[in-house]
Amino acid sequence: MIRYRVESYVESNEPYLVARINTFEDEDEYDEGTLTQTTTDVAEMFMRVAKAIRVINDERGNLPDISDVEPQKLSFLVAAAMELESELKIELLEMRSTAERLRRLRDMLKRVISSYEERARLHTLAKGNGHGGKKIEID
Amino acid sequence: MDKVGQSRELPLFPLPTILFPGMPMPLHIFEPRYRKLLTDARETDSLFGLSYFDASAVDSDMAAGWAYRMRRRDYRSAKYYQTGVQTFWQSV
Repeated sequence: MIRYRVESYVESNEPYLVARINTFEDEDEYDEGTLTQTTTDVAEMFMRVAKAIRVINDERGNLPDISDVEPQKLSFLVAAAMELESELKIELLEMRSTAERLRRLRDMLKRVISSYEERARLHTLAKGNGHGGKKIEID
Repeated sequence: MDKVGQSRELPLFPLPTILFPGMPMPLHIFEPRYRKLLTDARETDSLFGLSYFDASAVDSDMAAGWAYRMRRRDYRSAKYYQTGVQTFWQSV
């Protein structure tokens, strides 16, 4: 997964763009313990959101297990799956710290998780259409 | 291109969406210039760059992206139509 930064565009006879690029990768993380914890947090929160979305969309089937996905790959997977502004996605793509990318994603997930779960709960209640035999609690 | 900090020339494939490394890349390559890009890449080191490009932005630039090296199975799995090449490659 080699990322690059465009240094300049190159004049060429080709009909497509050619650029001079410089490659970069995520830097090594020194605090493995914190990275592991953040990775676990992001994986858990992301699965909660994914489960809620599955309920909202009436989807069936199992979600893939992402608990063993390595931190950098998980950070790209979650960044790709989340609905974010383009500028924010670019920022996440350009970051050179897996831990920082995961921290940003954890903060974003924290903000949306309750909203998705509430929507899933209401969707389940709405499907029952009053025949569920339970008292409906709407906050 | 396996080293970090390496400077080189790279053909660019501009995309209207932001793809992340490791994710599936559904591409429909129909413009003759990008079909040529694929052919040229195949004849060299099979590398090309995927960069986000917002055509509607006034000062849009392709500041960053990531490089993808096509593999033999990518060429085999691509579907070649008169209207272009359809792929669903999985990057690594």
